[in-house]
Amino acid sequence: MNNLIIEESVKTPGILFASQTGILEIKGKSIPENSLEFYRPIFEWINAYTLEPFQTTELKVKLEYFNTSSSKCLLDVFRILETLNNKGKSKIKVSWYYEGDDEDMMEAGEDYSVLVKIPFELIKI
Amino acid sequence: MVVKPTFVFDNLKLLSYSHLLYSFQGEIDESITNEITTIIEIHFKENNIPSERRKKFLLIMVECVQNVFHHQLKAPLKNGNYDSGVMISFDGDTAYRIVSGNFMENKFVKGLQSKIEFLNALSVEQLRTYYQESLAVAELSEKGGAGLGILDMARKSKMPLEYKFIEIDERYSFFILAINVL
Repeated sequence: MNNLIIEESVKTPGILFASQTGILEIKGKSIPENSLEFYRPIFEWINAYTLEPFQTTELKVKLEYFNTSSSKCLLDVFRILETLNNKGKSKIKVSWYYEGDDEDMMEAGEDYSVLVKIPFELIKI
Repeated sequence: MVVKPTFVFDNLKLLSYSHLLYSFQGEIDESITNEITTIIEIHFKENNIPSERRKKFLLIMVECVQNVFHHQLKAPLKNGNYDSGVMISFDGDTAYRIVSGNFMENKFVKGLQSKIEFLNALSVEQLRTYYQESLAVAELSEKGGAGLGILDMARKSKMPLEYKFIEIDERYSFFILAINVL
C-alpha cells in the first residue's frame, strides 16, 4: 500500500505514515474547526494498514498543541491501534513527544495512556 | 430589550482587563483564531513570555473561539446579523483574559449554567479525571465539536470560569464567558 503524506498547515498537522516500516508520524498543530474532515483519510489509511501491517508499528506523536475536536480523533486512532495490538498482528508502540516545560502536552499523553491499553512512551524533548 | 450596536463590545469590555490586545464583534469564522494567534505571538515575543505559557494561552483561546463558532446564533433584534464577540486583554502584569460572547436560546441557559457551576466546583485533579472520563465517551457533532471545550478551558486555566447571561427577550440570551490565563 502507499504511504500517507499530508503537508502541515496552519491548523492541521503534517502526516507521514510509512506502511513498509510501520512508522507513523504526526507533527505540528491540530486545531481545525471540524477535525473529522481532516482525520477521515487518516482513519481510512490506518484501517487499510491494519489488514497487512508491518510486524511493529510505532506512532510518533510530535504535536505542539491540539483542540478538543482533534483529541477525540486522536483517541480513535489509538483505539484502532489498540485493536491491532490485541489481535497480535503488529506490536504497537506510541511515542509521545513533548517540550520540557509543557505540562499540558505531557498530561495529554498521560491521559491517553490511561484510556488505551497500548505501550506509551512519553519523551521529553 | 433594544440591543444597541455597541452591546457586544460594551458587555465584553466589562469583564475584560484594562489593556486591550484584540477585540472583534460580528460573526466568528475560521479566520479569527489565526488573527489572534498572529497578534499574540508578537505580543508574547516582545514581552519574553515563555513558550509553555504561549501554548497554554493559544490552546485556551482556540477552544474558546471555536466554542463560539460552533454555538453562535444570529442576533435576534438586529437585522438578523450574527453578533458574537471576542476580546483579549491583560492587566499590565502577568494575567491575561479571554472573553467571548454569543447569543443562545434561553432553553439552554439553565443547563449551561449548571455545567459551568459543576466544573467550577471541581479541583484540578477532579477536572482531569472528569476530562478523561468525558473524552472516553465523547462523540463529534456534525459541526465537529466534541462537547469538551468548556471542560478543557476550565482544566487548562486552573481558575474558575466567569460567566454572565443577559436575557434579551423571551427566546434569546447573550452568554459571556471569561477565562483567566496566568
